[in-house]
Amino acid sequence: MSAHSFPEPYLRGTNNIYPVIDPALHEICIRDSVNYQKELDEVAARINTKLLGYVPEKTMRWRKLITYSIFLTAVILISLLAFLYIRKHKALLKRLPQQAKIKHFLMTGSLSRTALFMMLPALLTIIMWQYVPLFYSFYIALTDYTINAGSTFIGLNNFIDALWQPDFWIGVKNTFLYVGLTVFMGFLGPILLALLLNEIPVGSMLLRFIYFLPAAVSPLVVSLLWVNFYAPTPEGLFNQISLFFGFAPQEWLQNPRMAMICIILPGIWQNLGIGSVFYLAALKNIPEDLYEVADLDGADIFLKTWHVTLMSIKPLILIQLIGTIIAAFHATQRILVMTQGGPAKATHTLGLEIFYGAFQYMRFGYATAVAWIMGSFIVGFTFMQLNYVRKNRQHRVSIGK
Amino acid sequence: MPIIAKIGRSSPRVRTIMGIFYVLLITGALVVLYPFLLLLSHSVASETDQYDHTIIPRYLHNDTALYQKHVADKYGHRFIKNYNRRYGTIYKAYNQIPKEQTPNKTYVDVWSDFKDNRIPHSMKQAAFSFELHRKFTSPVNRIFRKYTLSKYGDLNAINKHSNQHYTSIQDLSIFHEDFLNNNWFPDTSQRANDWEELKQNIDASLLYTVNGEGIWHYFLSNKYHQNIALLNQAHGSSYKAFNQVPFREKRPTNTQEAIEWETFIRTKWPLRFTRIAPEALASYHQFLEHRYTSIAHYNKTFSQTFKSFNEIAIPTDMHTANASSHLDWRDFFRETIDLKYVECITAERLFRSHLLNQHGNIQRINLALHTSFVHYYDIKPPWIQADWHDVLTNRASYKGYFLFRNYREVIEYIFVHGRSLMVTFIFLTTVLVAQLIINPLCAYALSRFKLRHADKIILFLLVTMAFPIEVTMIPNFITMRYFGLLNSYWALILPAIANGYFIFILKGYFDTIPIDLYEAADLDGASEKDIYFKIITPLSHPILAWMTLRSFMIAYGAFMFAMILCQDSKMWTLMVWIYEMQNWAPPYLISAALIIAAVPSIIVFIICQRIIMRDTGLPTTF
Repeated sequence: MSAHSFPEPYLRGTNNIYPVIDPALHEICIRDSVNYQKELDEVAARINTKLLGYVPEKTMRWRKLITYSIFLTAVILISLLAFLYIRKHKALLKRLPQQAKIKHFLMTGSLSRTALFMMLPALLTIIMWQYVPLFYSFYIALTDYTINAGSTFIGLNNFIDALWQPDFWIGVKNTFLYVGLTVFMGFLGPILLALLLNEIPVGSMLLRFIYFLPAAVSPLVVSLLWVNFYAPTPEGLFNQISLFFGFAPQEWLQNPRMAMICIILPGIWQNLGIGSVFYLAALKNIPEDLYEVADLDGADIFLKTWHVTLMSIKPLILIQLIGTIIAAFHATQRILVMTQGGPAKATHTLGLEIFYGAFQYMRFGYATAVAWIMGSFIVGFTFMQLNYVRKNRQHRVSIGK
Repeated sequence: MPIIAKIGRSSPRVRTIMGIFYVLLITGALVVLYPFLLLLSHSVASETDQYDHTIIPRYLHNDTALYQKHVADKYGHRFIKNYNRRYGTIYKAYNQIPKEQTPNKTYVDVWSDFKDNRIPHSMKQAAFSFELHRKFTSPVNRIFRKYTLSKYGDLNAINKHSNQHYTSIQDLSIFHEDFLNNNWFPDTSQRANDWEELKQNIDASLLYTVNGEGIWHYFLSNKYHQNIALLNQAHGSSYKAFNQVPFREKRPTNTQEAIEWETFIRTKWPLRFTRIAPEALASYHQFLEHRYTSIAHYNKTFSQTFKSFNEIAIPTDMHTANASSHLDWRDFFRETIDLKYVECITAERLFRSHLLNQHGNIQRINLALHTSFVHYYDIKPPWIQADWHDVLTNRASYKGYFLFRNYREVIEYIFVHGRSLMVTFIFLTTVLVAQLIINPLCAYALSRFKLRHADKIILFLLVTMAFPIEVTMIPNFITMRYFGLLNSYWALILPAIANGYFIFILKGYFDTIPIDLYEAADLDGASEKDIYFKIITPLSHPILAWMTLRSFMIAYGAFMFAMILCQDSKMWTLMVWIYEMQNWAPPYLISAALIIAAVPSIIVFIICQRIIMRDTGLPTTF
């Protein structure tokens, strides 16, 4: 055996093969298969792809075909939509000449220059630190970027890598799972809390303060604290509680099926208080007459809550919903601190894939390609949100009471 | 209040509904508060009770818990072995030490007096000297550092005198004296000498006496696997615990015990606590002759000039023995010497002889000290009782010490890296002020001037929020590096000045200000500047307060990007230091740091809440 074995190479970064090879070896041991040479070859191919970016020629051509066609379709689709939108907008403008050309008496030439100056710092900052990096990162996504060596243009290869990487699809699945669970479990909490706090006559200040306390402690802190609570030993807090109720001690964060829910709970705990601030302030603004009218019409509590309260703040709820979804897509820091990708990649979201790709595997091109793919999911949501808000901007509610 | 009408409020149905609301809210508040209270109580814990998970720390009302903490601190948190070796017990962890009965005060006082005055310093070592990490200072090290600084002046002088390269005074600490380990030899460095000097003058409560019999009990308990029944079986005795087996001064009569006694003294007993009778010299010379065959060979090996073996003396300086020069003696001791020439000096023996000298016989000792000794070997220093007595009489001061110790450590740590406070403060104020100026200005412009393309501009500002920050992180890093702005304030502040989401929300708020207000102001002759500062800004206090709160929380809690942009530790914000603390600090210290870090957030929240809730605040629709 020693005639055929080689000393293990040890360079910087070779320990990155262990996350890939360890589970594979483990599986081979478990399944006790005879043909382990084939499986080892598979694993070797996977490591080659993941760490060195090496893919055999034939597969590469096929993949290039698919990816370029997807990309082309996307570009055509977007331009088509843009074209249609502009045409519709022009048509609208033609149809309502009055509204389009309203010049308020305060709006003169010099004032629009003032307006420009007022907006300039914000616009410049955002262009400089958000748009420029965005386009630069798109350029990076098209190259084989390394921080110190030069970068070569390799077209859509990074995107191809992304689409054929099993970790990427695991990331997509986990990301949607995470977002879905966050919204399902954590969205209604602040609304309910705001409703309740709005009703009670006494003690709302104190309760608001208590509910805010988790948010005062920074998210990093909360993640660390809950990692401590989730300790799988019988001394961990949650295990002590579950023993108290008669259940066996669980593995919490180590259990692939529970890990996702376990990560989301601290976020919900923290968000209850501070998420409700917005709703509370909005609830105070609903005119009392609406309630009185509803009362006169004989509505009970549930009807009043639904038709008066919730309908009044419907736009806010929808905006917050979309905001929550976008924030959930971006939640990398918390997952990084709590499970670093989870037991057997159970909590490996796209954000983590990007982070590891960039800072552990040092493949910035790949990481930015994944980031762009993820961003394009979310841009859709942002458009939806803004569209809805624009349509609902007809109401004006006077301030002050 | 609106949903539940004011009329009919006192009807029982409405009252029950209110009750249900309150129950829900209070249960929710308790559930929300519980982890926070646990965090609080965890932050005043230490190694022994960090897994307790009780809201009120146990040591505040339970003496045993306090004793366990104190003793763990004194003998080394992670080394229950030290405690077991000392007291001959077999506990597995500090938090399993049970309660003792009330200590005998006279007895303890007599021992204290004896210990402070008659036991040589060579038998005492530093208590409270274990540090979990060199950054988590023990009281003894604190005093040692102060002493060394006052002796030499400053760090450079210390470095020069001791040939070391300490980068900060925190690197200097006493070494651990393992007197009871026969393989340990103290070194002769400057640091050791300084410590010896300090030991003469240090407060007696910071030293503790080593007890030789403890290693005898420890040796036996290891041999019999912590099972006293096995020992009783082998010896034919009936001891209840290992620390009742006496360490005899002469060879025991019981054969099994004699074998163990001999093995123990030969292999485990530290040489520094022996006294050798001069009669052993002859056999030592014989041993050397047997080993080195001729005196010439011996002279060559050790570069000496003895004429015959009879001139070689027994090494006297056992305390600071240089190991290699005493190898022969140690081998002789281990293999050949007749144990009747060896006298083991222990603190117990000294105390025993002292008491007997003072009182004459055991009965009189019992009378004077209210004890109930029977045999000669029953007279032992009240080790455990002394510790208990100490804890029971100083309860309040120890409780206070433990309550505030973690916080004191964290605050010291923060101030040692004091720049982080300044950096964080400058960073936060600049970002808040910049955001409070730039964002409302932009939103106001978009809302007030009815620009035709206002929507598109808002879209423009918001779209970038869709992308995860990793996308912009790397190019921003490159840009900063290109402009040489890394590790400076600009790196932290510039990207954070404008935030599309805030502009969006602010614009929505400004949109609700009726147009008539502007017209009226213009009629009164207000310029744009006046309108903005005198009318709009006071009206938007609630929304600005909300924005401040949000912006503060984001800026204060951000550490990922800050760590990448400012890798130089001089520019780290508070959060980055706390994150870094994780690498070395025990969990309860981190909890204390987190509580301290949470205080500014709470203050900002209270201030902003009052402003938000004072006026009716945010609009319902945009």
